[in-house]
Amino acid sequence: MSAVSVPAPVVVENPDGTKTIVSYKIDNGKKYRVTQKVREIKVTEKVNKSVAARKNWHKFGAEQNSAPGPDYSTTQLGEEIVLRLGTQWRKIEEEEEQKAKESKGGEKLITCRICGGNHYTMHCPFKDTMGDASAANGGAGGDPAISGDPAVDGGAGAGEGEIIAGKYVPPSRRAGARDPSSSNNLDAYRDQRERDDAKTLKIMQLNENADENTLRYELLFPFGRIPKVVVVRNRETGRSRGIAYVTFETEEIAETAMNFLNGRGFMNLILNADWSKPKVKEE
Amino acid sequence: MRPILLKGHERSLTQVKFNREGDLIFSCAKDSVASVWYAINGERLGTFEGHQGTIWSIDVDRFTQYAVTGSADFSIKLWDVQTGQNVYTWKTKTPVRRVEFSPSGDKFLAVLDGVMGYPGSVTVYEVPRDNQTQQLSQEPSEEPLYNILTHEGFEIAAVAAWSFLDRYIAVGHKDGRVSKYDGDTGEFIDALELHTQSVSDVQFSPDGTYFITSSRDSDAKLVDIETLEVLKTYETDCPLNSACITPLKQFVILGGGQDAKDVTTTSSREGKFEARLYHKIFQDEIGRVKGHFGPLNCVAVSPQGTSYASGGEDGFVRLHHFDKSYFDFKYDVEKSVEAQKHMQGLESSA
Repeated sequence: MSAVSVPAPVVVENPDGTKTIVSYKIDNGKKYRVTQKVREIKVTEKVNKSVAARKNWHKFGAEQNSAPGPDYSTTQLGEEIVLRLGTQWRKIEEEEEQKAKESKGGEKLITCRICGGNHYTMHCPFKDTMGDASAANGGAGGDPAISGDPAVDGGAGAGEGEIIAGKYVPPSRRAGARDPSSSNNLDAYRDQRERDDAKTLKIMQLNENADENTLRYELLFPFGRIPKVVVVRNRETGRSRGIAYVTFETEEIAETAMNFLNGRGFMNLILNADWSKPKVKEE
Repeated sequence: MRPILLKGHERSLTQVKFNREGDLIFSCAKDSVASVWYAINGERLGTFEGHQGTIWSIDVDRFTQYAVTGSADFSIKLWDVQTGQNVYTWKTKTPVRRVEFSPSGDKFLAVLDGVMGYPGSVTVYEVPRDNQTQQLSQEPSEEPLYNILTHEGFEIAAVAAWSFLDRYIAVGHKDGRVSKYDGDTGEFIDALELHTQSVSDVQFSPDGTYFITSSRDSDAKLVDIETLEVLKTYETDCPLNSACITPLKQFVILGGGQDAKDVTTTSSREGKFEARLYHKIFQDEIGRVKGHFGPLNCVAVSPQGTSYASGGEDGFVRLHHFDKSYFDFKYDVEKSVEAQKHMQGLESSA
């Protein structure tokens, strides 16, 4: 639609000294003709003679070769400032600040489905516990089933305690967290991942058309509950790269599955299954 | 009110000044280049290049013919404002902390630091001028007109300014004293223990009969030059670096903030890096202008009273042209008095 060309504006000088400008524009796919009648007026501003003379001075020093007009690198417009004069200015400002705070606090943009807290669900147990402690407490009391991983649970409990104390403690300093600078050179998050790796297989040479559901229901159904299947995809095209990470309930099941799957044909391709290893970054 | 940011300096500002017509702004900073700006749009007219060190102070005469800068490189330079050429250089014994042209424009004072065995002084130099063209009529003398060495028992001078008709020099000392000298001879007249800490700025009212001082002890005071009587006191909650008296409206503008060396340890909110507007007569704080990221080192108001500029430790000059709400602001008492006058006018004409 925007490709439709519009005629150039036409300027007509009227005998009474005004100008009529006819221009065309396209808005929302409709073509409009805009007719403006303009009278040009010269506004004379009276300034001091010396001020007027100074306006025509040549620039010097670092500005010697600069073009007339302000240079953006040295002169910029700041943000609008509201100057409200009055003896009560402090009170007014405080009230406004309070209002802004309230409106921010009252508005919950993200709600966790498990605890109702102000964060994404993502296997909650109080996702790094910030914000509303009462909501987190209620969630935990009402549904004991969610306390799956004992380590995570302990961390969250400690986090709650600290929130009640009114002071933020970063996750790495909370009870149960490991010192990231300790000798094993793996931080708390990496450790958690390692636990998963013990019961996770990396399955390679998968058919491109095999997605998570296909794997679950056609390949992995004999191995009980499968907590997690992830097919590695190309970020841009979304096509499978023929690799999947599968987490099993226990390490034993994972081992059986590895023996069963390795070298087995699935959707016209021969699979290659192995333990998934934590990626060690090159330094 | 939308400020114009002047970002021509690489280091923290030391002084900003308007010329008499308020159309040019002169600024200097801890880098060794001073700048001249058009006040109307913030366009930079040019730079004064030649100093080897921090420029502590800048001033322009009332004809906007010459500017003078005092620097930590032990020199004072006189500049032609139109061309940016260095016209003359005075060598000094110690760093120059403050320079200011006398209202007549044929001499200027320089506050010399008290270091290296020198006791510190306020030294006045002559600028011989042609009466018609206001150009230099002859080469200025290297020798000062007179030299006011720091008074016995006083700490060295930090700032100084001229009163009306070059009659007096008001000097603010590091120990908080303010002293008064004869502008023609440099004779000591009187002194006053005004502040408890160093005086950081002295600026005269538009008519030159009283001045405002700002101090690191968080107070600003209005003092009459004839009697050295304290007229008003403005109390704030942070150390002050500069203060000025606005023409047109009965306000004063104070600038300051936490000490520059402590800035990195506090947020800009705690640092109180705001220009404060006080009512000159009622001594109430009536508003603040935010914007700087560091303490305000200097504030200046245009002689027309329509705009003001502040230079900060953050290296920016923020130039504000006041909008309507500034000019319209009146106390209730002022309004009622005006209404009364208006009614009387109506009665008498009837």
